[in-house]
Amino acid sequence: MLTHLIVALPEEAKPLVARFGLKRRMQDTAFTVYEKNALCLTVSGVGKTAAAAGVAYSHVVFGKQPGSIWLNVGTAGHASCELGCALLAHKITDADSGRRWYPPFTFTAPCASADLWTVARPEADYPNAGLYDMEAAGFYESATRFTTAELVQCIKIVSDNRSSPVARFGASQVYHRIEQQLPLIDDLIERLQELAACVEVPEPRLYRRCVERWHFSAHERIRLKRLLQRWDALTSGGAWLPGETSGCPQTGKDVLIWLRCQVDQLPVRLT
Amino acid sequence: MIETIYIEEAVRKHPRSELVCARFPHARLIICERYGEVFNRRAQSFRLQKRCPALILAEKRNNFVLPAPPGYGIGGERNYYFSHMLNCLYDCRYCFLQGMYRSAHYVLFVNFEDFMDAIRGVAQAESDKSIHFFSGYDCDSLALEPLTGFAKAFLPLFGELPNAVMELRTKSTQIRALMEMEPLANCVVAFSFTPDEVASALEHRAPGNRRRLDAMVKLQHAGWTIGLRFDPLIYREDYAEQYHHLFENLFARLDGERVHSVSFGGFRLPERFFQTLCEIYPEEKLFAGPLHAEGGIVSYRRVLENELCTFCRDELLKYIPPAKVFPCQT
Repeated sequence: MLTHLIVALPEEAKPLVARFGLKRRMQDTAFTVYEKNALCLTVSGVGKTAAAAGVAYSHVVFGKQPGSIWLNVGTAGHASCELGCALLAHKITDADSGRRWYPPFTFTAPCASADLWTVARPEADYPNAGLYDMEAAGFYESATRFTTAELVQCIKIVSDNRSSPVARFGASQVYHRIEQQLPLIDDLIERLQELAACVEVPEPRLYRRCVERWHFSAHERIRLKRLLQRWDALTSGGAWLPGETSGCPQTGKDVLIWLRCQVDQLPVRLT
Repeated sequence: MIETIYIEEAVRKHPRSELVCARFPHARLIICERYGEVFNRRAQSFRLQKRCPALILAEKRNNFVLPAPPGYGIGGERNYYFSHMLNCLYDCRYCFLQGMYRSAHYVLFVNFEDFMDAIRGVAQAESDKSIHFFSGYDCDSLALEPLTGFAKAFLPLFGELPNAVMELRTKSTQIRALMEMEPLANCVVAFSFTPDEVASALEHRAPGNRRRLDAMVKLQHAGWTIGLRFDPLIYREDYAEQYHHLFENLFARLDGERVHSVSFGGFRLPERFFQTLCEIYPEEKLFAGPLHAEGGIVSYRRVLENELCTFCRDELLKYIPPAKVFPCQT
């Protein structure tokens, strides 16, 4: 499964690129994109619209893979939280529209969590007790179109607070804040990958061989997949292909009829 | 262990919410407007949420008591159900809740008093009729009793309603609250069973049959009215031997004459729920078996279902008079 990292700024990307040994994809010009193996990173630019576009771009560029992990890493303001502190977002509010999302935690979180407000301009007054960023709402709404919400998370590193306001921090501090939290980000990605593995549905063992040998329409492929899942479940993956055990079916339809008969006759042992 | 609690703003200060939150001092508390913002949204995975379900404390605003589906009953003239909670502590692979909801979070409606008012209203509106209320339709009635205090809160109401019967349906051994109360004649504590091997394969996280039976025996000895539920009946090649042993073991320890009712029904699910379950658990043997869809319901093929139900009914009649045996039909 693929892990997509979405960041707003090049300075947020740099420590992650170094940590994971990511390489820039020179063919992408709309966004700066890095990748290595099953990890990719897109620098979306600032703001919720840019974040949503970055997510959509990454989804398409990397083959629209279902069941992927999406992680928004970035800096955020907080009225009172210590600088450098990492927090997951447990409630994201789009301050413009009032819309809210609640990223579900189905893993033990490696750090504390907080409410997060996505605002259109940097927030210097911090009126609510929670994080302030400019991307999470766009990121989250877009990413949950492509995968299940449990695999979409936002982690924010506090870059400014009332004692150290937003106007005072610069690019080098952003780099430093993210770099300090790399072990935690690493840990979070591992936990999300464990989760994703639980919902990854392997292709039935004989599916590829069947579709290479016979023609199936799109609807027939769905039926074939389910019949082969049943076959795998009831035989614990026993090897078989029509023609290997009896007369060879001529068409995909014949295979489905034959297979249905075979599967229906298999004994059911639940243990 | 609950790690996350969502609370509707409206019930944040409700005494029941405060009690529940106090039991989980380290849980993260997240305020929401309505539980529907969190529960059953699109793009959620029941399978993933079941690994670490959150608790949602909410207020039920309407439809407190609903008519039970046709074919669901144990001898009452009118059948209703109510759900103070959505979703279950256990993870039974045949359960329709997995197909009905995209969320596995537990929703607890803390305004018990509104449910009680509705129950009282229904029972008193037809005081000449025997009215049954089922509480274990969308959850296990007792599994979270130490947390919710559900039975403790609701049972005194039924003491005031002589024409009403409440069924608590459970696989739980959480009977302490009942053992501390005087038995109530119009409460049926009904335990669900499948044969041992089926239970260990499909009823994840639920107490084993032996512990359930121990709890039943204790309740029966204490004077509580008990019931037995074999719904769903699960087919496997050796089902006859399996169910024969199950019934034999149960009635060896229970006083059959004092069992209120026994109900049974073959495995069945609405087709839409079944398809969802196959997507969530494609490797599950139960869903790979000899099932078919008819009239929007997926069940065993009719011949097989009749064979299974007839066998179990005949076996049960060795222990229980026909008037106490209720087939469940949909």
